[in-house]
Amino acid sequence: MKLHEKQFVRHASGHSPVDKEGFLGKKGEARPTYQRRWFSLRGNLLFYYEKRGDPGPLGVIVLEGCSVQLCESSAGDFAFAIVFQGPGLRTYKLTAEDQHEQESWVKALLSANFGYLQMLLLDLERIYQEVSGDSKPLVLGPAPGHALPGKEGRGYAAGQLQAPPPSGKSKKSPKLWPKRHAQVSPTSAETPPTVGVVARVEEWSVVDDTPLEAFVVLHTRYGLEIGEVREEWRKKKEGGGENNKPLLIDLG
Amino acid sequence: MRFNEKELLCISKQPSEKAAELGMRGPKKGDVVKRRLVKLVINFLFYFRTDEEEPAGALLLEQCKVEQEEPMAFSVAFLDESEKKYLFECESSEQCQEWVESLTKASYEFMRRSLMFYRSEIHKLTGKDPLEQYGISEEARFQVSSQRP
Repeated sequence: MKLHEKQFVRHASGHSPVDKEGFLGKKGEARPTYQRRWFSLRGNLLFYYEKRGDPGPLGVIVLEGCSVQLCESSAGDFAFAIVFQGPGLRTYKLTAEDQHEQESWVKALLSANFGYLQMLLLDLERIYQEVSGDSKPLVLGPAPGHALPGKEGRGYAAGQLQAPPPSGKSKKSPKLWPKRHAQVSPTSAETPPTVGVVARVEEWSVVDDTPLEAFVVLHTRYGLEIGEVREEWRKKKEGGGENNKPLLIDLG
Repeated sequence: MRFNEKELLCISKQPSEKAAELGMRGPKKGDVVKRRLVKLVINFLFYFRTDEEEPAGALLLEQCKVEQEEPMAFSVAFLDESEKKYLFECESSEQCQEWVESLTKASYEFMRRSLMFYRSEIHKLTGKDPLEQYGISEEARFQVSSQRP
C-alpha cells in the first residue's frame, strides 16, 4: 500500500501543534535492544526520529485500534507497550525516563485515538445545546443523506467512528435526548465551525447510552486501567525494597 | 519512513459510511482518471483498485484543502503544494457535496478546532470550563496558544 510520505513529513514537521514529545527507548522489532528515539505525538499519529531535530521522521505509528499498557521490561523500569490485537499485528515496547513520563505517555497515547476526541466533542455539543438553550446547528452529526428516517443515526461524522450500538438497556441516562431538529446548512472549513449539518436528534434517542455516559465510562475506564496497573507495579517495587516516589499524577 | 502497514491495512478494512467508486486522478501531469473504490476511515482516505482487497494507497487528510471543482468533482490538495490536486469525479453534484463535507470534517485538526470552539462558547455562557470535570483542561492540545493561526 502506497503512503504518500510527504504528507506525513509535512504533518510531522510544522504547523500543527504537538500534543506531547520526548525521548523514549524503543525496542527493535526483532532485536532485544532498545534504541533511544525522539518521539512526537500529533493527534492519532506517533512519529519517531532517529535524533531530536532531524528534519524527517524515521517512522510513524498510527494509533488506532490499539491499547496501551504498562509492562515489565528487561531494560529497566518505566516500560509500557502499544499493543495491536490481531493476527500478525505488532506490539511496540517503549521505555520512559521516569515514572512521571511513563504515566504521562500512557495517558496521552490512550486518548490519542479519534474515538476519544469524537465522544468528547459530542459531549461538548450536548452541553452547548443545553446552555445556549436553542437548537443551534451542531458541528458533528450525520452528514446529509445519512439522516433519513429509518437509517441508524450514529451521531458521529460520517465515515469515522463506528461505535457498535450499545447493548443492554440497563443504563438509564438522567437526561433524555431532547427531541428536536437542528437546522441544515453547509459547513465552512475556514471559520470556526458555527454552522452544522443535519442532526436528527431524535434518532440519537435510539442509542441506549448517551454519548456523555459513554465518554464518562471511557474516561473512567482509562483512569482505572492506569490506576490498577500502576498499583500492581508499585506493589512489585515495594517487594524489591526500592524507594517509593510519591505518585505524581493523582487520577482521583 | 516506516509505518505500521499491517495495522493500517486493518484500519482500511473497517466499515465506513463514506465509501464509493469514484473517478480518481493523481496530481502529476499526465495522470489520468482511474476508477477507484474510495473509502474514508478516520483521517485516512484509502483508495482501492476496484477488484482488490487491499488498498493501493492512502492519503492522510491533515493540512489539506478539499473543495468542489466542477459540479460533480472535488479536489484534495495539501497545504504547501496547493497546485498539486488529487481530483475525484462523482456521479452527482449531491454526492460531490457530501464528500466535500465529510472530508473537510475528517481531520484531527478540525476536531480540535471544534472542541476549542465549544469549550470557549460554553465558558462564555456559563463561566465554567467543560473540560475540567474530566481533568484534561491543561492538556497541550486543548490550549488556545497551540492553535494554528
